[in-house]
Amino acid sequence: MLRFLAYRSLGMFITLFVVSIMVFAIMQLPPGNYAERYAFRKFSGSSTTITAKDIENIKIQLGLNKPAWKLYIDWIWGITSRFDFGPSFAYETSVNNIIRSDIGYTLLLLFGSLILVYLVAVPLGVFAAVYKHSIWDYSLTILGYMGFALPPFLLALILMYFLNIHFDLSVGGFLSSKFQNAPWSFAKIWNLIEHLFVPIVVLTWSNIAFQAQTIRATMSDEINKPYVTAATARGMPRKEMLFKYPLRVAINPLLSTIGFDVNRIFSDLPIVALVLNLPELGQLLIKSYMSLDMYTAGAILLLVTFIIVFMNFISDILLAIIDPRVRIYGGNSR
Amino acid sequence: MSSEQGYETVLEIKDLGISFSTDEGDVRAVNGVSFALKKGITLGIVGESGSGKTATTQSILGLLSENARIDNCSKVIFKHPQKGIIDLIKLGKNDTNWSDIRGRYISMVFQEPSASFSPIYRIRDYFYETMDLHLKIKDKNKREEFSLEMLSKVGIPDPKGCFGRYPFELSGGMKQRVMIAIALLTHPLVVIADEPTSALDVVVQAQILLLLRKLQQDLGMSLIFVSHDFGVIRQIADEVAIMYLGEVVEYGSIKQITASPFHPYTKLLLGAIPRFEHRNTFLSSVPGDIPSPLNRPSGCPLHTRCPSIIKGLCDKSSPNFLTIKGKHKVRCFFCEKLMKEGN
Repeated sequence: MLRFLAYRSLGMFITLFVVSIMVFAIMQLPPGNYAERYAFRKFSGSSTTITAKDIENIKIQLGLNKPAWKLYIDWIWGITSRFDFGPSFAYETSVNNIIRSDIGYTLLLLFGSLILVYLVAVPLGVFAAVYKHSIWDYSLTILGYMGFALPPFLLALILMYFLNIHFDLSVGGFLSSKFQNAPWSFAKIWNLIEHLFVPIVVLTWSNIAFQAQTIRATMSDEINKPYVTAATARGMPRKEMLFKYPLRVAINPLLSTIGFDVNRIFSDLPIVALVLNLPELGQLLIKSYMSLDMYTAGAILLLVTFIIVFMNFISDILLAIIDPRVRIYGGNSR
Repeated sequence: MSSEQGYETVLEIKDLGISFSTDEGDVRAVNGVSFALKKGITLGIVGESGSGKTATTQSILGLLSENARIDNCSKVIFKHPQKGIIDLIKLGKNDTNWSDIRGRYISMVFQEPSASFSPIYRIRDYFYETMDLHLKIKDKNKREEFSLEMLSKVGIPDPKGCFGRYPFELSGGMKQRVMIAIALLTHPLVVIADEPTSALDVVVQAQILLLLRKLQQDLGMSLIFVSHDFGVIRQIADEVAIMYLGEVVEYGSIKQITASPFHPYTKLLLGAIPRFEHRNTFLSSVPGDIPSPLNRPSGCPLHTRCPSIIKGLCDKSSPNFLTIKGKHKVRCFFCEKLMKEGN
């Protein structure tokens, strides 16, 4: 197990290193840089002629005059040693200040959705597999199709409309206006949970449908395998047997795709956030990218990819815990 | 072992009929099978694939799949040492009575040792599971000692090493030995072995047969041994039931059957065993294929392939059992005719 952990951690750090270089390359990709943008913004309409020298001066001011590799090393060193993501040009403060509040909400939405997906999808899938071809199984399949077919933004709009008209709840944003700047209290937390309900339902809906179908499929495969019959023949009570034998194997594909789920949630997030008026990193990323605010965009990209890589690492470890074959052969074969 | 009369019956199957409902229609897998299993006896069930051997054995422990339907008149009578006589057919799938029958008094050894273990648990987990369920041995050292003793009994060379391994780290033969060890851990009254050697190579097959026979005699348990291979059955069984298309066509002690087989199908099967002295000729086989159980032939099920068919009789009505001598029974019009002519 230690060997396996060492291998996988090493793999993760190499991936992160490569990813950081790619992120930095993407940061540099848009034509021009913030120095030009800054000059344009500052002097446009003032009928001053901007010379190449002026731009060079702004570059020096912003620290953009160094070669790319030096910029990269400074950037990555700042992050790893001081947890400093550099300056945000557009907001004229540090990137840390800008993303601090949003990252919390983003992570809350991400992990809230992720946990809910597994808490709901696994029992539903198992239930459908055990009572295959029953009315429950069929209703779940229909629900599953709806989950695939309904785009998240539409679901968000429907839920918003419904809750607004029938329950008189305002669901936009993370907090009601009176709690916006209030200190944390029980009422504020409750308010937050109320507001999280809709976005989490929207984000989990299709994932639950997908993963419940996955579990249903793998579970109904496993349930007919000889080792399940053998366990029954040894006198295992049915319920216990289902958890101890087929589910332990059936859960495998779910654990190995945690990374995909994170990905899916991240890609749905900006649309849902836009509809529900939530502050969240996706929109900030697009905004800062368009205004050539490279360190802000880089920080968000890096954080998102880091979370995905890290969740893949977690999924590897969970797989190894649950399946000895991964533990024994996984460490040295790759 | 001996086949004297007067042995106590442990398990009795009466009029067992099983149908599977499939998309193509109802499949009649077992049709009116009856036999009694005596204490300390090995009963061999032989037949081609699709003759209903496995369905018969699985019905004993209620392991049939969801789409199986058992006739209302069928009975599987088991003499439970504490609870008395129980009809196993009447127990529901999750009946609590199963917990001290399955794996406790009736154990099963399966065909594919590799597929019959979940790769997730170590060998010791399987032993401890059975102990937790049936034997209630709590003391850690005792549990290990007891398991290791059983493992060496089934001929595992390094019981301690094997104990900590995962199933996928053992060979097929070793896994089958382990499965036998687990099945015998509780000293069951009946062990059902459903083609336990079919997935193994010939040398290992012989070892497993010897082992099963020895353990069966040592522990005095009854064994139901299912195989499609008459050669294997001949080595291990005391009594044999020959099955064809869900019916027992001939029943008797192994001596009676091998020395004087009556049913044409039994003769065909016995003729299909490879023999050293016939090594220069082709192996004989049973002509034709087993008919689809979806449309069973009328009359005697064998009449489509039978070399001794009596036209107008065998394809019209089905024969009853005719007792030849002692346990030896046969179900065949041709044999009836022969007996009449002989007397």
